[in-house]
Amino acid sequence: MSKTRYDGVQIAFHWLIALLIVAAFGLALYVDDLPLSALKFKLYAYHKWIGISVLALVVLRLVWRAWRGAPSALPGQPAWQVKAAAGIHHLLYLLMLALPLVGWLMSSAKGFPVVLFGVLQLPDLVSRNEALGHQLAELHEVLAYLLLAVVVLHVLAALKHHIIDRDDTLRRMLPGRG
Amino acid sequence: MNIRLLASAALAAVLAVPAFAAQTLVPAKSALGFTFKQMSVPVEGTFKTYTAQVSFDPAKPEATQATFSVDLGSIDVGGPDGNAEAKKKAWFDVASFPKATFTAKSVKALGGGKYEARGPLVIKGLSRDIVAQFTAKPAGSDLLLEGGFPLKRLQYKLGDGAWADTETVADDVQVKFRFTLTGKP
Ligand code: HEM
Ligand code: HEM
Repeated sequence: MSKTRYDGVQIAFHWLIALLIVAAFGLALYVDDLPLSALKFKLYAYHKWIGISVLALVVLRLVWRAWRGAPSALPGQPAWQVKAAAGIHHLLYLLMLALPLVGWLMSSAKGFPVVLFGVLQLPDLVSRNEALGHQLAELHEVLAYLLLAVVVLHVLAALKHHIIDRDDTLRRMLPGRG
Repeated sequence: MNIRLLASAALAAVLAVPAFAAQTLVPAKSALGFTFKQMSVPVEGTFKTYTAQVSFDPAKPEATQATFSVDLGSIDVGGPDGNAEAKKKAWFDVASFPKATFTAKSVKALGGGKYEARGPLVIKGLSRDIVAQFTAKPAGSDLLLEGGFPLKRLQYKLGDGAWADTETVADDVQVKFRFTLTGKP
């Protein structure tokens, strides 16, 4: 099954998840500086709901990828580039799973469980532990900035393919023209 | 002059102890807490300091006399930011209203070791009647009262202004208590 494009489902997953990650990130940065207020509670809850949605969508996306496969690398690239791209994609998947998971763990440790969309209470992954909560908050922050850095690299690479190499890399992740 | 001061202090102390204060609250074996929902997430809090003057005989609940006084500055909602916020004007306004009080006006037995107390709960200068249900059980030589009651925070102007939005912080608060009394009623 040698495909040349990502299928519609994969494209939808890619852009929806990218959008949600950007929203979660921006929201967190904005909320962090707010004084304690009703708005702050509300936006933190939205941040968690978006983050957990990312976790769920990434799991589905990986199931889909395992089932349907992904297009192989475009021909004519140096081997190191193909390897680097694969490595970056693995790292992105890893961080997309680890970051929200650590957020969930942190919420449990802080004694503030996640109630998804205000209706579904998620189980606590660890019991209440303030010190652990603080450590997980730091880890969450480190992972978030690591993800940001890797995404920047990933986007620069995509733009390099599109603008400098003028190949089909970006186009095969865009909707339309099959 | 010193003697007079002492004498009046002693008199004040005697007068401050109500005639019915036959039982004493054992703080180490008591707890006063509450739960509410914040963005649908259940949150727990406690008050660390409170006093009570109680005369309660499980066999004669109608004769109960009881007043409770809670030091609102002793609130703990699980973090320094939340604790500081809870003491501010919009919430308990501890600077102007340091204490909440409850006075039992009537207590009756519901059967099966259960009781019901009614009376005014005063928070932030606002008095509202509440109905608390509790059980009374002997614990060694002590008496253990366990129960709770619901209240609506906005009836006491708790969380005024921007905090009034009940979608963020629910109006319903469940208060829970466990009081250990020692001594005879
Ligand atoms: C794609 C997913 C996520 C991204 C990109 C993300 C990103 C961030 C960022 C950038 C911060 C600010 C860090 C700082 O500067 O202090 C933050 C904070 C936070 N995030 Fe997330 N997050 C995600 C998922 C989650 C999830 C799923 C939860 C919980 C269920 C969560 C809970 C929190 C909390 C509680 C904070 C505040 C930590 C603190 O400083 O106390 N996050 N997040
Ligand atoms: C939060 C932001 C983003 C994340 C987490 C992310 C993640 C990923 C992942 C994991 C893949 C691998 C897909 C697979 O093979 O299963 C991928 C592919 C791709 N992404 Fe992103 N992406 C993000 C944003 C972007 C942006 C903004 C662009 C464009 C400017 C972009 C362009 C691409 C392209 C062109 C591919 C296909 C690469 C190939 O054909 O080998 N991505 N992305």
